[in-house]
Amino acid sequence: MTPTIQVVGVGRVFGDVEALDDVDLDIRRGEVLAVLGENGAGKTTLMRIIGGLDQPSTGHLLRNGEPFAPGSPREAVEARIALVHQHFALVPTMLPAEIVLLFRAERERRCDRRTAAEQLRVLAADLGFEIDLERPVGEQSVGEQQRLELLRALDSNPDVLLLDEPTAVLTDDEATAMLDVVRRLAHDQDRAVVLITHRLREVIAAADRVVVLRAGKVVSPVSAIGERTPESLAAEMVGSEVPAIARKDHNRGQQVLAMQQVSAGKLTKADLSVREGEIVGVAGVDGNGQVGLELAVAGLARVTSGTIRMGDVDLAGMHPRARIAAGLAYLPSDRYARGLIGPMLCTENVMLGRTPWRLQDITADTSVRMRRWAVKGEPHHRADSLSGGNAQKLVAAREFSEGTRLVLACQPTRGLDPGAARHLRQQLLDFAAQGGAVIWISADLDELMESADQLLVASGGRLLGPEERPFDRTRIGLWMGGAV
Amino acid sequence: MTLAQQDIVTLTFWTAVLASGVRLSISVGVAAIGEMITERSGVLNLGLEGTMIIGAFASFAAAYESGSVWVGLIGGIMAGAVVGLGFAVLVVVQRVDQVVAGLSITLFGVAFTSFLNTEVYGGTAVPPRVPRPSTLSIPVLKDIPLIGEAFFRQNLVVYVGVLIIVVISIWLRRSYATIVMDATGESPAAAEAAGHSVVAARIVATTVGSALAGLGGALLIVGQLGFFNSNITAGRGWVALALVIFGRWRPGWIMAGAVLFGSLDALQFRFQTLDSAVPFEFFIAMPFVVTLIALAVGGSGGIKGPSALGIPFRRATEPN
Amino acid sequence: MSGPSSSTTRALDRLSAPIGAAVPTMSAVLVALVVGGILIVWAGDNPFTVYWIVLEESLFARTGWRDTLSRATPLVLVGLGLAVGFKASIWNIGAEGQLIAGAVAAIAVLGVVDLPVPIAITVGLVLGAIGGIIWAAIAGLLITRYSVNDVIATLLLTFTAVPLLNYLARDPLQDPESFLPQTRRIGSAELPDIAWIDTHIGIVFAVVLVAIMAWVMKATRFGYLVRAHGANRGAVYANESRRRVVTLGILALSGAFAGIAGYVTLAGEQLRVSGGTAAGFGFTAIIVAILGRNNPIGVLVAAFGLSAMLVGAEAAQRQSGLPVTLMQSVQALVVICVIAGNAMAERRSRGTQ
Repeated sequence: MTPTIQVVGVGRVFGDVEALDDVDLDIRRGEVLAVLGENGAGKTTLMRIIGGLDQPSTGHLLRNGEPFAPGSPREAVEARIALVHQHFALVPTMLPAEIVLLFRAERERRCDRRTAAEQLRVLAADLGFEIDLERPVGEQSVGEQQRLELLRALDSNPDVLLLDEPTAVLTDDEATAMLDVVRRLAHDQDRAVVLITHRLREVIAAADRVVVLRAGKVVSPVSAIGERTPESLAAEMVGSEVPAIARKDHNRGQQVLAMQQVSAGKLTKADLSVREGEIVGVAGVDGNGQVGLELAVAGLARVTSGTIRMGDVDLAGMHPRARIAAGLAYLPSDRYARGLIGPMLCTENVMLGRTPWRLQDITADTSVRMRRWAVKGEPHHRADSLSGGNAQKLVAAREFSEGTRLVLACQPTRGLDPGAARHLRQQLLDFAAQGGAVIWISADLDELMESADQLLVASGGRLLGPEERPFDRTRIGLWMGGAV
Repeated sequence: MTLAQQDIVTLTFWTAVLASGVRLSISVGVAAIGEMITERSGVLNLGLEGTMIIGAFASFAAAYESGSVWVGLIGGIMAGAVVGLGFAVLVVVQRVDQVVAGLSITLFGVAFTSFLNTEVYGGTAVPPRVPRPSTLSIPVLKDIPLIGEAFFRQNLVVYVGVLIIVVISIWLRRSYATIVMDATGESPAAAEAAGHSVVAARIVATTVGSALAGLGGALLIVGQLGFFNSNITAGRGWVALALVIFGRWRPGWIMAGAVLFGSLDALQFRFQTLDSAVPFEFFIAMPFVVTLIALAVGGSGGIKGPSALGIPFRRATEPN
Repeated sequence: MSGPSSSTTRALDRLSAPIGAAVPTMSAVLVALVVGGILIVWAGDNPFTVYWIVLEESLFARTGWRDTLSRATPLVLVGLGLAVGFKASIWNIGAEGQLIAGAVAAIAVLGVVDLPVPIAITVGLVLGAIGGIIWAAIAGLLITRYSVNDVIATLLLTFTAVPLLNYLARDPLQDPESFLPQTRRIGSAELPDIAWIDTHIGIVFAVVLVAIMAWVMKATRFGYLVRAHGANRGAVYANESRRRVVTLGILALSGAFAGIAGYVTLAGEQLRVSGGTAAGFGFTAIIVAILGRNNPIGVLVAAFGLSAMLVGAEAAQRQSGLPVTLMQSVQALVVICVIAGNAMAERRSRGTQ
């Protein structure tokens, strides 16, 4: 049988970065193909090329054995290929039916919201999904949004369905249900489903075949799941040359920060305490109050109740420079919005928050810091010329100073390549080992289980826990799923 | 006409104010709805005042030369569309800063129309006037107290303005273009993922919006004043911009705001002749003060415009 | 890039950078002048004659030179403040109203109080600044506290300042000995002339303030804050300062400069406040700041250029009847061409990288 889509020697170069290099794979109807790889392995780029959002630099695609080069998402949809994006391609102010209309191909374009809503309802009922057609999608939960993304893609009745991390924001229960649907779409409806993920368990549970990418290259060609285990997949995905991070148990000292009954944004009545030499991890699916916690501790949110104290300093709503003076370093979750000034030089970014009234030349200090943090770049380059990993390192190079007693690290490894992520985790561990305190908010449970001394779970705006080592993964999973 | 103080309490006075207020509000309202369309696609057009005055001059010249108010209206629309297309090329294609480009268009429009006016129509002692559109009275309805005059005894051009506003409002509710327009303004990446061209959508929305601004200027001339002067729009384009925010990017609210502003404007003209203890300059400033207060009160409620408003769009695969 | 030639290349780059930046600007000015020339032909004049008159009357004739300097003075002052705001992406386009407020504040006190000359001038500068700050602070309050859009808040306040000015000049502040709607003379706070350039001392204030602002923007925390705020305000609020403080501070600064300009034109040129005090400097200064690329030195150059164009255009109007508004249109065209040219140049350089 001819594969429904063949990827032949595809490469994609961005500037001097090879996002994809000579990738071969085949996609077949009636089965789920998992594309496994870490962040930055090239999974999303590959999907964008098949989905018509990007074009390969080298190589080509075959559709049912014929040459195929979709120049736009529309052409891909006309060739019955649908892509579900990792970052929702939804318009928050719109109703579900309007989203469906937005994505419809030209000739079917009839702007009848009522009919579209009815069709959507039928489609959802077929898959056993509940759907709220009356509320704008921005007001719906991430789980609902993810289901809507899938339904929206199915509206064009594709026979190739590309799913980019469809479970990344879901709770365990929701993810199980979603994977069940994914399997049915392939096996019962004879569609070809490509499932992109970095979650090993999902590959084992849902996929028929798997291909592993690392740094833009295929490291394990497409093959049946067979006898693979999560551990063997992990070895394929990460490779053996990257050492695991070193964590030692160490003494914890005095309390550095105490938060009592704090409400800010979505966060409600949260308690948190961190001591010297301690890493307190805050796990949880995005959107459960982590942003409120981050902004409250950083002094940027309006705290509606409770107290946050560092020693005798009240952090709630304080001046940003007072935060720095108190020894609180801040790695923001949105480092481009809050951490860096893209159009300004690295030196100017290193002085951010620390400028004397009369500016001084800090080129020497900047290059020392950049070297210490292995930032690839020059002090007199613009910060937006740095890659994601280097940009994060530059923020860290500024924030970690002699007087730093507490680090508030928010999604610190998000979007970083594996090497940079590992480097940053090791730095946070080393900081704690030397007696520093860390609050580490992350959606990546594995990284927290590996590094933290204590775990809290953000769920529905509350902070559940704390859990001490050794962590009970099942219980934490239940908390994250809101099953308390 | 001078006004005695007791006149203020009569129904006739307020009937006349409302009638004139509706006339004044159509011009500002049409321009504001045009700007709303532009903004909902994600483009902020601060050149609205300039576009409006260019439309006003074009309509004046077209109506004067042809002797027809309808040719005047078309002239205003076309001039607005041309200016809007130019602005769109600057800010959507070339990605020039929208604030800077918009301000320049306004400064240009105000100076350039003044130049053209002196050059072409400046020779005569009495400024030339365009023909007056005929008045259409609707029997019975026109006799409704207070609002009868305002809504059922107006000149034809005003009715055309109202008709255009109603048609656009209904069309915006139903059309597919609205979905694409709102997607480009709220979440351009989603629009692009859905296979729409953000650049094309924004160019179209900006051109259409500016055409309506040009029409707004035209309505001011042929539907209301009948002549052209330097700086004749006198800040109405800026008020239209404020009305878009005040009206929360919805045609109904925008028109409500426009009628409020128009009535204040009409009141201001009448109070100027009123012998009162309050200086007449107060009434000149009043529409702007009320607009500011309305914005302040509305703004504290945390209203937000389109998320991508004013942010140039760059496709993910383009180099930065 | 590597190898022995790289340092030379870099030095060459640094040398050619300002020249490279000037090329698109100059060609844009040229394009605008050509379009202006076509309009002049259409209006029935010879563009070369008109442009020659503009040049001659603004720069070579002694009275023209004097007018150019005194006209440039308020443009430099207002432009300096606006440039700081624009650099920070705070769009204060209501400088006209702030200028009016400064002039009114100065005349309200100095019209009735007689002080010795140096003190009177100092008081005038301070009063002008305070008036401008107050008017800008109203906008600042609307922006920071009530989330009103900055462009609209500052501009609508100007539309309220103009009627207020007319009222004050005709009633409470009117000169009792005059039938015209104008205030008393400024008296001892009048700015003295500098003999050898035949113009009032305001130009010296302007040039000194340009030097101070150039240093402030380059070498102080304030300048850093302004640049950082323009590039990414979120990072500033998270690390350096608060939104309200930065916004109000920058608005107050540009209001102060506009208010000082109000006092300087009053005390150097008009001597009385009247409806004519709102002469449009606040709006022309927007062009000055944009063409000067929000840089103090650039503001100085742009202000002189535009002022010369206007003075020359007025002479041309007297001599050949060509309306001044033509030159104002050309100025706006210059801005449009310059920003479009810069955008295209930027694109091309990105394409070649």
